[in-house]
Amino acid sequence: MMRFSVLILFLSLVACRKKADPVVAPIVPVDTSQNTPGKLRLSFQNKAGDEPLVLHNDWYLTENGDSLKINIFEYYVSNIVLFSDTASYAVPESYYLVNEEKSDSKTFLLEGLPPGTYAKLQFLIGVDERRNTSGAQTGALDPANGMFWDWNNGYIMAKLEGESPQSAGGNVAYHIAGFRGENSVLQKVTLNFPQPIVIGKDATKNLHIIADALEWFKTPQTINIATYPVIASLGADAVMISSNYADMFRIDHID
Amino acid sequence: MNKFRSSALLCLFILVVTAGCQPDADLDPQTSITFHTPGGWPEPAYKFEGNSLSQAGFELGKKIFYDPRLSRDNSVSCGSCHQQFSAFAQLGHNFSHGVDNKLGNRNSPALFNLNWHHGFFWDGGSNHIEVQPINPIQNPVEMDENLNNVVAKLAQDPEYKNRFQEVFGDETINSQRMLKALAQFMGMLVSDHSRYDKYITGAPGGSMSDAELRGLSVYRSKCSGCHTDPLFSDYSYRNNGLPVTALNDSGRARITLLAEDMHKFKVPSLRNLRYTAPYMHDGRFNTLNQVLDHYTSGIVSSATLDPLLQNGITLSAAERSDLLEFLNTLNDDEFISDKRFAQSE
Repeated sequence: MMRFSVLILFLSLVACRKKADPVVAPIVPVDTSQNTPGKLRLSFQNKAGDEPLVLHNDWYLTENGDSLKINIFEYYVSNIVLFSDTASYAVPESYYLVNEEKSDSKTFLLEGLPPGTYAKLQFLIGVDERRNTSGAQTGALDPANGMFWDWNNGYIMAKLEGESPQSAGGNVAYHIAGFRGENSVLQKVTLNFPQPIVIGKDATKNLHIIADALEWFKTPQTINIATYPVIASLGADAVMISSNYADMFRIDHID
Repeated sequence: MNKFRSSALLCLFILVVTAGCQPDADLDPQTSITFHTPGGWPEPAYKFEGNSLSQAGFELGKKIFYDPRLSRDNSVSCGSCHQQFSAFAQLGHNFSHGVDNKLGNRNSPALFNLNWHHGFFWDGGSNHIEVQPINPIQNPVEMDENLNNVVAKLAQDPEYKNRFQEVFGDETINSQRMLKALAQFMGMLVSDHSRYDKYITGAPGGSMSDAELRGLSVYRSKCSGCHTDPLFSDYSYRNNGLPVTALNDSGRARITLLAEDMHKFKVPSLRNLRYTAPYMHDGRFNTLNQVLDHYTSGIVSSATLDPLLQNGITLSAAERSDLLEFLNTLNDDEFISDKRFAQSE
């Protein structure tokens, strides 16, 4: 019995250790003779349903039947991880702010990737807890980008502003923030590639990802703009919107 | 040997010549300065990680701290509401004035021993010393400016370009560098030279009278549960039973959204009270006697009232008098007159 307990203890320790390992195991190289790091381009196209997203101008219909014009549409993509069938690679320092207003923010190149054949991609919509609490940041995380709460510190993970006749004040503003506990709006997105992507051997592939802004207003919760014209504090409403937009991304094509 | 002697002489000469000039100018900008944790104090929360402390960085932070260009109309600096003679609070103001003479709704807190704070503002809404200044810069009733404009204004000034180059190795001015420099200045604001400190460390000038020592005992038995020494605060958030005013400031609950945090505010330090009146998060009390009146007879019971204050604090007339004597030993004259922290000419 004693020996059995020791064995169980040992096994559980081993299991724990394995679980704690960071997801940076190298991918098995596709071509050992040409073992140079590879690249992958990500290109985001923001849409509203099937329509291209045109800020400040076009009107769209939400799931609830509300009219909506969108003026600001921004979100963080961070902590990108690439998966092969057997291993994964966490792209270091991967923090990107996609802003519909800035075309150069919608496409970026991941570099230094271990050569291999990859099957899927994972990322966080937002900024992880550590970067919310470790002082002044720069680049995509520069608080001057307007995606940082100065009164209750933390990043706005995603922001949608616009107008709607269904809003009593006329305006719609969703500033979705919160990185801790039950107020966390951090959503992990997994996108399976329609076909495997080989990195390191062929020319750099471009992964075209669509983000549908109307997903903020549906599934699982249909949003009535009259009830929720503004969400700009921590809490259940912000978490609700984040659950809605968690599935706004899909892969369009790879070229 | 000769060479050494002449350089030493040259250094001495420079020291002598410059000693009479501006107090800061005689320091080599590249000199690294060290942050010193006073003996017996706990480890600070902020140790300048990723923010390489230097004389030039500290000086740059000071220049930014005193620069009114941080405000929309270039009229208000950090130093406007955080004055050194007031231990970097603002003496005589319950609320401070921002641009266009707008009033805030909380008392400007004193700035010292900030590296030991885990949260900033009365409600702890800021989680890091480096990002704390963003709020007063952008708050419409304080400086009402945005970070991009501040960075642009500083970048137009060749003097700043030189200073940033000196500190960071190139001329780039961005919010991160500005905030790290500010954190160097603010983090170095350590107040540990009160008479009490000298008494504790056995340093010269550290004598305490019998009344002050009796007051120390009163403090230890009746105040130190929240105002824990040596920082004289545990920097926790507590409801100390103040009557709720028309403003109905929810305090910490505004940040956490938790009912249990309603009307809780960060416990302020008891250091430097002589310079930092009025007291409390809204500056409602002008004198320490009023503060003590509150604790002995003014506490309002509520669901979130701190357990340590359920029965108020009992103070005899003699205890009150001794306690006030003791609190007086926590004032740090050297801190409020330290030329290192004063605005450069």
